[in-house]
Amino acid sequence: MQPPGQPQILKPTISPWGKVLVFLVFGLIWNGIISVFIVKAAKDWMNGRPEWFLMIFLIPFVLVGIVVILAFLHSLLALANPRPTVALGNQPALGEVLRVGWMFAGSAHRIGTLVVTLEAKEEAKYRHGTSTSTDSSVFYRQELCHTTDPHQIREGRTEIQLPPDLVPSFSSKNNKVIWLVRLHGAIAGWPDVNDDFVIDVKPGRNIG
Amino acid sequence: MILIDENRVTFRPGELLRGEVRWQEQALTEIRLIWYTSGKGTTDTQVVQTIPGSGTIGSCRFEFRLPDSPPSFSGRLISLHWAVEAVSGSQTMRHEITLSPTGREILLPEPPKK
Repeated sequence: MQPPGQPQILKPTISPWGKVLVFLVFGLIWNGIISVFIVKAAKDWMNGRPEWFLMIFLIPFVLVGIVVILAFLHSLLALANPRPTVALGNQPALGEVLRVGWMFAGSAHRIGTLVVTLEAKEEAKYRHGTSTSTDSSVFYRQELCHTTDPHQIREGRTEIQLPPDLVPSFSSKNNKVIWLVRLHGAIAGWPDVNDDFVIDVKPGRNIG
Repeated sequence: MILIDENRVTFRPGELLRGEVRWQEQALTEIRLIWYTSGKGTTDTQVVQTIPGSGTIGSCRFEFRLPDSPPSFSGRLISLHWAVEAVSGSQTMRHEITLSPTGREILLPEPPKK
């Protein structure tokens, strides 16, 4: 727990290297599996016995594989992006003021527009046959800052009164209510900065 | 049968929930304050407080100090409900309550437009 008065430094939900790793591992597994069928289809084609059904069947799987490769390259380029640090000035609670500050390390001047958003969402995990799926639904979104000022992009702060009549952060095995600060920095001709920071919103005072 | 004092249904965090359990057949094992989820996600249940049963047949008063969180709420994917349960042998009686700082179940708004 953070001592009172000390800013609370937040960690992004996934680091830039984490994104690279996710796409690399998923891409290797996905493309590794479909490459077996692509090789078979290619051999049949070269032997003059093309299997049309297999080739048509493979098209969507190949497209997904290409998208994953592009996402991997995108995440590699994003490693060169400026890295944000986000800090809270106080322990957030419903009905009270939330103070958020941010600072970019690296080439923050490359960011043309910065949008900082506060968001809250439900997240439900459920079993579907043998697999597990997760659905989420945003129920609160508030823009905290939208700026093109290079000084404010590099380092800024803002505050907002949290709504008193919503649900604080909640987490159980399969169901969650998640509050997060989202940073989106648009960089012309390059992957944007997109980082989420989960915040722990406490319950507020009784109303009425 | 679970009876809540003054027939109250809605409570605020920090309040005392008082009531009485009446049963006739088997000995009362325990009285517990729980929350559970319903909706799209797999159900989660949490026992928050328990009071051991008297082991006799008859009636038993109970009292729970209600916690701050989580409140009763309902959204597109998840609903969270609070209840008092009384376990008597293989039977479980349940009485639903609402716990909320606003005095009513919190209804999560529809997803905002981007």
